[in-house]
Amino acid sequence: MDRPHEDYRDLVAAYVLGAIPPDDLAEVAHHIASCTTCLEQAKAHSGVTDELALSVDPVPLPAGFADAVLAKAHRTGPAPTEIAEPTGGRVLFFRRPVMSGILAAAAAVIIGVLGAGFLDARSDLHRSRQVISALTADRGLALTGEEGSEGHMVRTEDGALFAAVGLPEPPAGRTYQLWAFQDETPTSLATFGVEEGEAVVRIEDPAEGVDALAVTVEPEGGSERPSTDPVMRSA
Amino acid sequence: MGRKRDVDAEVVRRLQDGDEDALREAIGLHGEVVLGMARRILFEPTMAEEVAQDTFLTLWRRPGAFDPSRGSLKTFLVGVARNKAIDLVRKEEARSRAGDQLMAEAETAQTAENPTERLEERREVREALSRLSKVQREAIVLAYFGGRTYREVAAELDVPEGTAKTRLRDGLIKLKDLLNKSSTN
Repeated sequence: MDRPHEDYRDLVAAYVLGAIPPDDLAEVAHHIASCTTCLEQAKAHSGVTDELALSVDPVPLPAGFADAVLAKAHRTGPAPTEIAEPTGGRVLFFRRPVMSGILAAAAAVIIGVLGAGFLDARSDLHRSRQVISALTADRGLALTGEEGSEGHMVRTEDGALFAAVGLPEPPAGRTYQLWAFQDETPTSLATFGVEEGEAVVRIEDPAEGVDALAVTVEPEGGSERPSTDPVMRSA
Repeated sequence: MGRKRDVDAEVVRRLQDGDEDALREAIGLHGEVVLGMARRILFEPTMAEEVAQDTFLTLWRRPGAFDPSRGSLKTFLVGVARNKAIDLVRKEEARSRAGDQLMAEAETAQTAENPTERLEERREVREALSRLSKVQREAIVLAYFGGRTYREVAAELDVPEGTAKTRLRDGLIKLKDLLNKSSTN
């Protein structure tokens, strides 16, 4: 459902404050990142919310606070460096923009474009690219492939987000698979399909210290190691 | 500013290497304001402390989530704390306890007495907040520190949704103007 721009204009502030109801989040985010005026407004607002964040009174830490954090850290173990099995699938939903910036807000937009079914039947690759550029302008790992396909992985506070455009449908019985390389060792991050040439995947446990990313075409369900040449890879 | 960014980036590098001292340092530098945000939203000390601990746990587990080019580590951590605290607020129990205190704080323009390096900046923001109209300040405080959606803001303030949206929008715009003015003085 496309409401007039006026309706969204008044929601930009609420969006940046994290005050949009979860059900409407995708739609509002979608508009904001596709609309230059609203995007500029959102950027301006998020400067203010950053200031609000730092306006709180500091509270002295109770004794043993740092020890307690480290104890919890030891209990849950170090960050995993290997993903046990491919995680398939579709987009999950950010309930709220992460405060660390408008780029994360644009990430929610990508989700809105695909996950919430607001993709305009006439919408073209160009607009998605614009959104993905806004998403990844100065952060994350960029991947390029044939025929202008591209992808980006951006880390978030609860995992990572991978978005790709320009990929054709994989052949029947095959799927795309995203790999992270540490030195030369590949680890599977996700398998995914595409919808109108686009894909967005949320990765729950991305490895830290990734040197490179690549996407290959694999049999349905994914493989243990890449079995074909990458269709897309980071520099 | 560049130096602070370098310091932040260095902490993240060390965290990625699993350096526990780096975590302790981050807690030392930013723990009080992280706990401050959690307390601002939750009020209840035990829940707030748990949120603050979990914030640093998140930093430990996902240091790569922080992007130095997008802002300071402090702002990032406070944002994580806010998100976690608001998650709790959105469960009924925490919300009803915090409600009255939240509105009471919205009424007063507080200035901090605590001596920290960010005193001047905090004072500026508090000052700017106090110069909003009462209705704008209420709306922003409910949304930002109370985790209310704009619909809930409208319901709690007993105004139409359009009014709530406008108050949030006008309030943020006015805050920006006030903060820009004070930063150029």
